[in-house]
Amino acid sequence: MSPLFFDHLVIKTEIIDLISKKPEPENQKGKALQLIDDILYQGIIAHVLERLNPEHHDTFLSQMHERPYDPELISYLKKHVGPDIEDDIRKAANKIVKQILKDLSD
Amino acid sequence: MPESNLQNSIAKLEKRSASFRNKILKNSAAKKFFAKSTLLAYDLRQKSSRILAGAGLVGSLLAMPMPQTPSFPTEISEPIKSVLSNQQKVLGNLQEIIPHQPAKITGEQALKVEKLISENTSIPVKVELEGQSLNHTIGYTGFEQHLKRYPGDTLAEHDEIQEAGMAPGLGAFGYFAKDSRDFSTKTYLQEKYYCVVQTLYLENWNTDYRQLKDWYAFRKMLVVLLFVSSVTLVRRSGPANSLVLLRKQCSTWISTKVHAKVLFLCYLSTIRKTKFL
Repeated sequence: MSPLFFDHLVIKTEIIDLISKKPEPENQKGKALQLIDDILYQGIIAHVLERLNPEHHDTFLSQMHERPYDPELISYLKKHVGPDIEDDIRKAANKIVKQILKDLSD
Repeated sequence: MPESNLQNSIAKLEKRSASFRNKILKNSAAKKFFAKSTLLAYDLRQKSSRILAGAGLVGSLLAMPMPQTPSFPTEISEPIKSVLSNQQKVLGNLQEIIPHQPAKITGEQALKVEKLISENTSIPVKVELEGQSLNHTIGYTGFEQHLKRYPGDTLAEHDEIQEAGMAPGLGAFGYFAKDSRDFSTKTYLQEKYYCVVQTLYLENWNTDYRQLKDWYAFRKMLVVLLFVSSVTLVRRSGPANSLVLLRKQCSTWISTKVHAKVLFLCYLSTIRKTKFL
């Protein structure tokens, strides 16, 4: 499956390790992983939209839809949000990962 | 029968997903946009795969520094049709110019290749640059492993072609980033499109290796498969004596944004699927 433009900023190792050790059937694990992928995508897009000036939302969303894999999207965000956007996305992703780990551990 | 732990977790994850969806849909542009598109990562990844496969572009993802002042979206909105026609022109003409066996091209042949590439891509490509050239300009590809990008990096964090495995050692120039926090889009692309060159087979390697290593480190190379091509960075010194080894069997068409002079290399085909340790 093709990567999305922010994948390299998200570290999911702990989540994958945790799910792989669970005794449930593989189809349930797959469902959980799919849901987690959606959550990370949704959480990161929500975060980016919060940071990005509304006048650029349409362009960003359209370009993301046209070329979801394209690291030029990061360049666009660097220009219109700030040079630290990678770190910003990484921190947001880490926060979401922690929330997911909590959901998986409770 | 009580629900399993994972089922309980899935219920919580579904709530979390719904919460993010609601948050996004409060945004007016997003609400309008996602009325005709889903908010599922799976759908977006599927779409991404279809676009890349359909256009023959396995990413215009280049191992080069991110532009300081990108002209997005104009540049990435460039019609695929015109890019492909340049691609077809270059690849078609190259087949007539170059020998179809491992070789080092020089003289008039080299000038023809440089002219063909430069005119169709605006990349100032050179077969010989600053007096340096590899023993072979044309050869075969191998199948390279992933490289550890920072301490603690795992194969699971690398996208695509994970079956290539992870090299047990580091690249010739160490880690790409000092830690996971320092890991950026730039370093991600450097590893994704790294290439290996056989500097150790250069005639003067044993006497001039310090200078040569510095010269080749992170040197941009234009790599042309006879059906696609890629701009890539040197990250390793390879053990094979044919040409260059890439992890990616099928890489990317070249970007029109490469302005540095790059060395030209050409792959005839991918003939080996070997892991080089």
